[in-house]
Amino acid sequence: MPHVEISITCYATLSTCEAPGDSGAVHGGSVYPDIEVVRGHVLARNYSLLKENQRKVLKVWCLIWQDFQVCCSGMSLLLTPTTLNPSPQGLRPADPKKVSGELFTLTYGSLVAQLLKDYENVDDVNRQLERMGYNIGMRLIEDFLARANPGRCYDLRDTADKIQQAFKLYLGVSPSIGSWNPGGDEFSVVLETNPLAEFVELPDHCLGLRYSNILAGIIRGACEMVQMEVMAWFIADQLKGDNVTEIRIKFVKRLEDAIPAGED
Amino acid sequence: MTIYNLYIFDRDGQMLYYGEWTRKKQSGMSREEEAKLMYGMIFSIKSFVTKMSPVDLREGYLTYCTNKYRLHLFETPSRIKFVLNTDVGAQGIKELLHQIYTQVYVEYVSFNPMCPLNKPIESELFAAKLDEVVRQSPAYASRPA
Repeated sequence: MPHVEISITCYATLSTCEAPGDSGAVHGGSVYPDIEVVRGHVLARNYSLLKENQRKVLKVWCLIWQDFQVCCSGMSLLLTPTTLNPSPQGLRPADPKKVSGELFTLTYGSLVAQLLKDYENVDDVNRQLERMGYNIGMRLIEDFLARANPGRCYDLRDTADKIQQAFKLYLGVSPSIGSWNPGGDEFSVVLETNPLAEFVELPDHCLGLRYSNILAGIIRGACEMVQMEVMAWFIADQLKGDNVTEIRIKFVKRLEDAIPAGED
Repeated sequence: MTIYNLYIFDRDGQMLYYGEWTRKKQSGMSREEEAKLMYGMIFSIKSFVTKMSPVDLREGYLTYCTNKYRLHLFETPSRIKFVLNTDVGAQGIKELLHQIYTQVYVEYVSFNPMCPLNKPIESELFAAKLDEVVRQSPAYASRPA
């Protein structure tokens, strides 16, 4: 290819992401941002660069494009190596299914923002988030059962432990369980930090928004799949100036096994 | 050793999936009839065993054996039931059923947003993966019937 020299340089940059300078600025100025985040941005081409670098990048993209037109007209398939060097070890999460926490947090943020645009009314947004969570919970419970193999719960304290375990597994935080009511059918899940709300500040017109309401929905959906009807709602939220984020969970009733048709 | 067939039921007793490998004799009724009978039987056996058992049953795994075949029931805490029929000598079926649940059902049904949870499973990918897992298991012998 005519511009092979430049494209190799470019390829090396893209494939190892050893150029965190500008992309790093996007991520709070850290010098070595999470490699997966940068890679995601590079692949999606939505990173922001300094103006002069932007021009350079555009130029390189153009040169690559010209090369492709020269060399690949009449070709329908082009195989390229995915990396030139082995990717840096230790920066990559061990589990290829895991995504960066930041990417997740930002995705959730844009979801909530879009819901606010679509519904305008914060109560409707709260309801939608809860419903989405409910649908997620109904599926997520299967993964939890498969991965953690937790066995069955024989009382609500068991259930509380499992919920605690699930927070650790899926959000990487360990909430504390407490504030049991005297009847033993109501407790709180207390989060010191809420990964969903890491970059969030609620504007004044959204004070009624239960930003992380999806979590309440997930808990309700997941419990329902294991024969427990529960109610879950937020009673404290760091976004509203409370010290902690607290979800209250109340046991409603046990759901019974379905009886086969034709039997009583 | 042989694996005959597999039924998967959801929590409402609806059959989600039926798979067959080396079934040598058909029941002569429609698949729906058969599924209803099967669900009715495991439901009754389960409640009978739970009542009569002299020891605590907490595993979610149950098996009975006739002199010709063995039935294995694996039930998840979310009440999805996997019923697998094998020959009497089959080993390691509990592990196989667990594997079917974690590596096939969860991956290709729970995680597939296009796959409704309370309808029979139509995903071809699910069927293909299930077949692969069953055929690779030590309990499955490839000799033809």
